[in-house]
Amino acid sequence: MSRQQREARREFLKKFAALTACGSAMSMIPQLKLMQSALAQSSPEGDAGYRALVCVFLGGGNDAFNWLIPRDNTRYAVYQASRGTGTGGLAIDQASLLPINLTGPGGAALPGGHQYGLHPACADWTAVDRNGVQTAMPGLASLTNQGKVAWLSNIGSLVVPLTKANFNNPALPKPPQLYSHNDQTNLWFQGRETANYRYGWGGQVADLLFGLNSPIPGSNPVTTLPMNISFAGSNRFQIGDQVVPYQMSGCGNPNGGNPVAGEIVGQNFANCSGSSALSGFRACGTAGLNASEAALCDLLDNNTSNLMQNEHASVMARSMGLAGNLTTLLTGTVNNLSLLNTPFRALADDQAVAGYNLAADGGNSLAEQLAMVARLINMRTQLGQTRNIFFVSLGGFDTHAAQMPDTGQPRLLRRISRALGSFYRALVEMGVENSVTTFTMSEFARTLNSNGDGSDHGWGGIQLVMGGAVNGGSAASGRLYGTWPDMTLNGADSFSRGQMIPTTAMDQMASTLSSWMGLTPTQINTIFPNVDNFPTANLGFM
Amino acid sequence: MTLQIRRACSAIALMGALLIASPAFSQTETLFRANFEDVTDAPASDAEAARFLTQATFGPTRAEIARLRAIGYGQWLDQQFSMPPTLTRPWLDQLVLDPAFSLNSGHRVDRFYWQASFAPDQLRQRMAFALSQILVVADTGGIDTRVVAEYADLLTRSAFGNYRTLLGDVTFSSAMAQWLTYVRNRAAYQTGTPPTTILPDENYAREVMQLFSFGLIQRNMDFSPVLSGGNPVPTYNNDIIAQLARVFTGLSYGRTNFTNTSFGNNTNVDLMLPMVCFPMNSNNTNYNATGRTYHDFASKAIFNGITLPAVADSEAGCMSDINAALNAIANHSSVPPFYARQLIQRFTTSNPSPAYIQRVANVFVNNGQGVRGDLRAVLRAVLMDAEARGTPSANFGKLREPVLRMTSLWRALDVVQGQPETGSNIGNISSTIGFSGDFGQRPYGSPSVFNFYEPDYQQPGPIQTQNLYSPEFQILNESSVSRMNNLLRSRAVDWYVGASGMQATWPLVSFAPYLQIMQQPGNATTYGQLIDELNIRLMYGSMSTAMRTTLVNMLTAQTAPTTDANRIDRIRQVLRVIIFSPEFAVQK
Repeated sequence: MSRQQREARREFLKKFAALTACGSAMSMIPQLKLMQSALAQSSPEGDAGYRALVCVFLGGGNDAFNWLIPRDNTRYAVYQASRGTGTGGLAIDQASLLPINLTGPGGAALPGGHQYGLHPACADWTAVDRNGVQTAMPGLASLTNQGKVAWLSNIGSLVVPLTKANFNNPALPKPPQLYSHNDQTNLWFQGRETANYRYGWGGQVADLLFGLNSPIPGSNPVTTLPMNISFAGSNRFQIGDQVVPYQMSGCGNPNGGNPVAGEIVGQNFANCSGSSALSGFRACGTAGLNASEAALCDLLDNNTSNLMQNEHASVMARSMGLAGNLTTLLTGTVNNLSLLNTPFRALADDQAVAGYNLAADGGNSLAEQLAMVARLINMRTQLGQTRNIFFVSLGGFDTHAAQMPDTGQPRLLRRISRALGSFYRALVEMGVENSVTTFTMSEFARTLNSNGDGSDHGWGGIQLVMGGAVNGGSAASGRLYGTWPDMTLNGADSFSRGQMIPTTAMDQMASTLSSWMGLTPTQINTIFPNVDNFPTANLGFM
Repeated sequence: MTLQIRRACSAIALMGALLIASPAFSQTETLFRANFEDVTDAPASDAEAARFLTQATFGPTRAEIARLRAIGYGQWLDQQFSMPPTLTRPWLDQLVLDPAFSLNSGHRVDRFYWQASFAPDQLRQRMAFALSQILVVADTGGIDTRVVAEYADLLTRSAFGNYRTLLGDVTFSSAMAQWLTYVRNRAAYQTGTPPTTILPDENYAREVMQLFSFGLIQRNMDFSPVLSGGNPVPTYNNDIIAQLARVFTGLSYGRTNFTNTSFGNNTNVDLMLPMVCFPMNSNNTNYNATGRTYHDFASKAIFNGITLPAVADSEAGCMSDINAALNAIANHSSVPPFYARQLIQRFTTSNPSPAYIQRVANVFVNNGQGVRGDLRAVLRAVLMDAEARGTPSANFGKLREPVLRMTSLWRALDVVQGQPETGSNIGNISSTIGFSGDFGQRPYGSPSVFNFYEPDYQQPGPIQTQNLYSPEFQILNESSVSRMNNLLRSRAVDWYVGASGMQATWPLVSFAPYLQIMQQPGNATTYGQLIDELNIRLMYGSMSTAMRTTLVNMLTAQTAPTTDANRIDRIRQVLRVIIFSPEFAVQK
């Protein structure tokens, strides 16, 4: 897309935004109407009118080759030799792996004898729900075996396909600043390998879809919840030309600190809206503001000569405008509509699982964030939402040291598995498991080779995609997409310490998800300018 | 309460009292000097003085505004440069004298706010805070509270020293070695069955270049990227990381006594001591001063074509290798613009002009006496530059970060320290419970080595469209802005001397000066005086006419107050709206 075309698109969207503000835009924009009907047709059962992506970002660089692991003897031996055993070694014991059934794309059998297992932290677990009922909860191993998870192998940032043989060819462009946390994170967010590109692919997808959402019904003054919502602070992923993400917070222990034994999900969340109101100040535009409120609203002028002042005013105005609505919708009533039975925090694990204490385990902030995502999805009609892109995050994956003890990577993998298990179950409870697709991103995987206590920065890794709409496989197996790399150090697919050269581009994963959200091939090519350098813009996992 | 605690408390109270009192001492010195020299560089107005103090300290006070006007910028800076450091760890060490006392990171953060609010060496404290956001260490990695405090003290002591010395002190600190995981990092070795080669941890090698010295791409003196064929020139690649990682090997913790100690054990460990290139006996089981080390002593090819020669496999060889690498890092041509830009961003503006960066970088290269990396000279250049002292151009300035909003409110409003308390909140200034979540910024508590926000962060929307940087916006969002404001309001508006329900341990602001103004007739003139006084103290006189009018009208729209309770209510109303206002939020 040329610069001119891009400007034209922006102009269109600006005009479009103005139109939607006046209402009834849908009938005036045939293109969107077509898009909506196309979506409705292809929408799976459940809530045909709703679609959402949930990005789970694993910050720090997840050592994903200790998440999904080859289990057959031949390849396990290669894995084990590269990761090392004994003190300082990083290999996960073969006998401890949770067996999973995987097939290839289209249900094809994997190459002869290939078997996989998941890290033991991905096991099933038990929790107590809002009504005090003991509930068996699925971990990632079970969800995979039920066909709800697709695993994407050796995926990473690439401009063009690269191999070890041609890596040093200067004519082939490489992603900028490989191995650097913040730079690689931004490449995943951008969906293109341009240093410091302004927008994220989630933001650009939302630029094309946000018009399908409506203002919060009954809100006065009329208020619209942005399509993109972050529970993990600012991130480039959700930034679009038109769409600026709204930032909320997960609901931790209302008293602060670690969770308390016996707390259960409903009690904990009933008074938490994930947003914070400015105490004593109602939204500007509300009837009957007092003198202080009126004065502050007067000062929230975003049209001064100082851009930072303007921006601060805008953030505050958005905050004040939305907090009241969200508080009304998400808290305070006995029969709070947003609450679910599915346990998220698993706080009663203290009682349910011998020897396991969630409080001592540091809680599960990812589950707290996903619980809020589930509550917003549950309130989608009341919030006027038909399309959403959510962003949640779990940090701590930069395991240069202390990777192997339970408090290192295993605990993080346990948090992912349990948070995703709860979230999937909540989607089923709401009947929208086919309308919501969850996926992980992480800036890079890590060196297979140990530094004595952990691993260093790598490149290609493994991500998962979870949901009812995922071509996960059958009721008895999940699927593996992409090529499993040779795990020999400095082998066919890696550098000296086992930094993997990706064989699938993250752009391909992102474009596949964007297609599922309803974007056309032309739109896909605009957002992912490099994806045509690869064999397909649709990996087929959706 | 044991007798011991009581003693500790009174010692602490005394220590606090002495520190609060010390500006009087400085003032005597000033008056003495002022008899001999005319002050030629004094700020022309209270507003100008307050603006400088907003940039250079944790917030202006009436007393400090007057003092700066009396002695001028140069002498004020000289005095600040010569003040001894106010430290954190000695304070915590006092607290833990009582074995029943349980120290946690909240006590350290309390002490941080106490120093920010009351310590006389304001510029040093502020510089240490700035450095703590570049040379990041945090207690989020499970590092002991006193070790983090010692790191904070290291930055405080070294704040006006030389960059190369600072880089060495940081590199050998146990806090950094734990945080970036190079403690007990070893030269390559084999282990396990089948045998695997273990290679050195690359963590510090990477971040010391990317974040602590020169960054990812080569910079000109004005911070513009050096280009080759239109593309920025990278400073290193992953091979260089692996080479430099071999330098940071062989270090183990310092010991009070090396008898029966080894590289791997914790016998006699003292985490407050610098790390040691640990020499051992021939069995690698015990310390031996003349023995071999776990350092990789072979030569290394690092950035810019520099080769570090092979060294002897000894404590001295290891030390010389690490120091040679640190020399090379500190001498990299991109260090001066890298630090010039980030220090400017911490003190005066998020978007300095290239010329401003270059002027400061030039001082980094040469302080005028041929010394490179003189942080005192660099800081003076940051604060006294024409761009910082002149009338601010459009978009000059920075979003105030939450910590600085809090401290500037406390200082402006003459906060009174709460009574030292026993138990978990001894000596608290801030009751810091919740300060991490509500501010999203806990000193020495950053979520990662990338600080609370990054220097290149661009807030989406008009700021990004104009290609401006806005680091502090990275932690400001629709949730956090309200939480922050609610907390600021609680501490600066609700917790005041004379309010009901206050506890003796709470820090309370004082409305006395404003009450005096408000005791005049309740009309626009009186309200104007109130607002003008707050404008000087909180907004260095920068309040727009429109904002002043809005605030005056807010009060005149209400019945004139007839009681002191009414008057306090009006003061609090004005204060609240100022604190929440966009004009206060941005330091210009």
